[in-house]
Amino acid sequence: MEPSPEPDRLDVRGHALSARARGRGPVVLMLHGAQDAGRWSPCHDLLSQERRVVAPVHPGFAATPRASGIETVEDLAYLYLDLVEANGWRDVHLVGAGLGGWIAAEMLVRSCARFARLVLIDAVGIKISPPDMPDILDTYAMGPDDRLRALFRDAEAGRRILGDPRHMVEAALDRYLHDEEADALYAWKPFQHNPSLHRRLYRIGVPTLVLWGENDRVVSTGYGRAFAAAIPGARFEIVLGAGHLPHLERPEAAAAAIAGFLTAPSAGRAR
Amino acid sequence: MRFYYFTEMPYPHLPDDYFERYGSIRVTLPNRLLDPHTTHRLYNEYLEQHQLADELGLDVMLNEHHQTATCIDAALGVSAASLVQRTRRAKILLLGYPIPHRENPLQVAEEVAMLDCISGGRIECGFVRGVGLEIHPANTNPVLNRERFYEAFTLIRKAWTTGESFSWEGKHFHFRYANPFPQPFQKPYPPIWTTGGGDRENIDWAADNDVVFATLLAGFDGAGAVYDAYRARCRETGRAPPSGERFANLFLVYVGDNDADARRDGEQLMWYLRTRDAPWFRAPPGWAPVKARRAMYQSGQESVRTASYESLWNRGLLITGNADTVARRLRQFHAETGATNILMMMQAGPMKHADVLASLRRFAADVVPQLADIAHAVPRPALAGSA
Repeated sequence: MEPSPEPDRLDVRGHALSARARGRGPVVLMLHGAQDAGRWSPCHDLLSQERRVVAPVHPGFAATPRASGIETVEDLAYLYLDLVEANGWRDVHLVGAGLGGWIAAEMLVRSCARFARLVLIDAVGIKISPPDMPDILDTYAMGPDDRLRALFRDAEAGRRILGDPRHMVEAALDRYLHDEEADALYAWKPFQHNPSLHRRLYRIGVPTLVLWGENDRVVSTGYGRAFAAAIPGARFEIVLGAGHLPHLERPEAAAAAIAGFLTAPSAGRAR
Repeated sequence: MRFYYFTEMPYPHLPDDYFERYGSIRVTLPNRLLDPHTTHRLYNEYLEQHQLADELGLDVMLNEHHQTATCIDAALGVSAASLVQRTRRAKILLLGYPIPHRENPLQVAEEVAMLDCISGGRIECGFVRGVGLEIHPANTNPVLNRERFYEAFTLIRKAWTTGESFSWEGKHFHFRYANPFPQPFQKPYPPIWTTGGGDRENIDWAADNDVVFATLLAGFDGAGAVYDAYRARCRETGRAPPSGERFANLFLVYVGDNDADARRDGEQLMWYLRTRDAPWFRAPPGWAPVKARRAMYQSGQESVRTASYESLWNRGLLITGNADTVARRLRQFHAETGATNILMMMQAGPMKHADVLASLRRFAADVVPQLADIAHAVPRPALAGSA
């Protein structure tokens, strides 16, 4: 694998976003989750072999400054709709993981006009269970070890990929703490979801793949199936041997599933 | 000087291994551990302690926390309403209302105004951001805590000074008709207090708004540094130099017959510092700056929680001894910092009711007269209206 592309600057509506991009061909806009901001993973790299992968950082993540007037997931959804429009991109493939999946869904219930495909990876954002049953694990109410165990099928792999906050150098620890802060700004209350999103998912009118880690302990596969069931014609697929971050824990399998879906001529239309 | 009796109203009757079994004394400790008869007894003992403080010529302080065995005063307005009836002359310091966590700041404006009118102007009103541990019970956004505090404070002050209905369509709070009945007894409103430590923005806000600043278990040096920052802000902004009544510090206090007895009983006060909770509840993301949260990650916990009795005594977090020793230490604190408000946590953990009452009596009879020469302007001058 080549080294990660350097972060570049994307201007949209007066906001300067940090983004990494690589490859030629149709645009894949990849939106990160709470734990993988600013990372260029092997999954990104594999997808960029036949496409242009653009991976922006949500303001406040990866030690970037917060953006004035961008404080909610709804704000982020409009920011990225504006980004696509400002660049004149068409038939965009939108891929979102975790929080990024929530943002992606919020974008497409507003407008599918410039999009060809949607991939949600272990997304948060909807509420399906009764009020006294949380759907999304509170990873803020645990120590670093338990959190790694919650995020990865194999906590040791997780430690290698994300690092252990107790043994990070100061800059890395600060970045980790800034990521928590950014996630809290966007998703603290209601916790990691929008109560209205589930009933709006019918508006997503592009072929959709809902991809889920087999061993996700943050949001269960049952939650993933409910997400897929609410999007017309969406396909649901499992990544074996992965937790909440299959694109980091099983990058080849995740990339193969995504590339297969993006390439298929009428992907996802048949249930 | 003014002396405020205080207890956090703990519920200390927990299994010794509560931390190993439940992981935290706060937020997630199962509330089935509470026995209603014990709760009843504790509330009434605590209220009686405040009542005695009033009879002895001291003032009283209350606070509020949620979902924790360290403090079962979960509703400041309720405990204050009880004390308004049980006391005759004491100032009742509410320190304080965690206003960013309240959905309706106007309700706070109404409660405080009621208490102030019923008591004939004995209320001193603290507004606080609420410690990090309060974020989870309230489930408010920790990143927006500070701006919610400012907006709630501005709204409450406007509700106490406008004199008629107004509309408030802010970022966090929305009222088409803000017109609380009643209004405070004291004009334009009761003295406003807040708490804090090294957070410079918080200190500047307090100085800019004539707010009494209370440090909590900060020690002589820690408290003095905060007051100096407050004074510096007043100088920079051209405000009059603040007098000692603008500053307060909370100590753990016990007065014994002799220093040895005081140490034995005073050590029980350290129960409060020894309670254990989960670090992730203590510092939710965004509540404190990254730098402060980094220090917690690296050290595991605050040093004050592991410090020895001697260290706490020498730094001036703990003031225990016979009456002469306690008076000497408080005089020294005043000489070093200039502050004239002394907040005294004189009960903590399983400390016996009778011991608390005896310590209080010794304090009033034998410590207060020794400090009578340290002036504290009475009555307080009215604070500036809408500075």
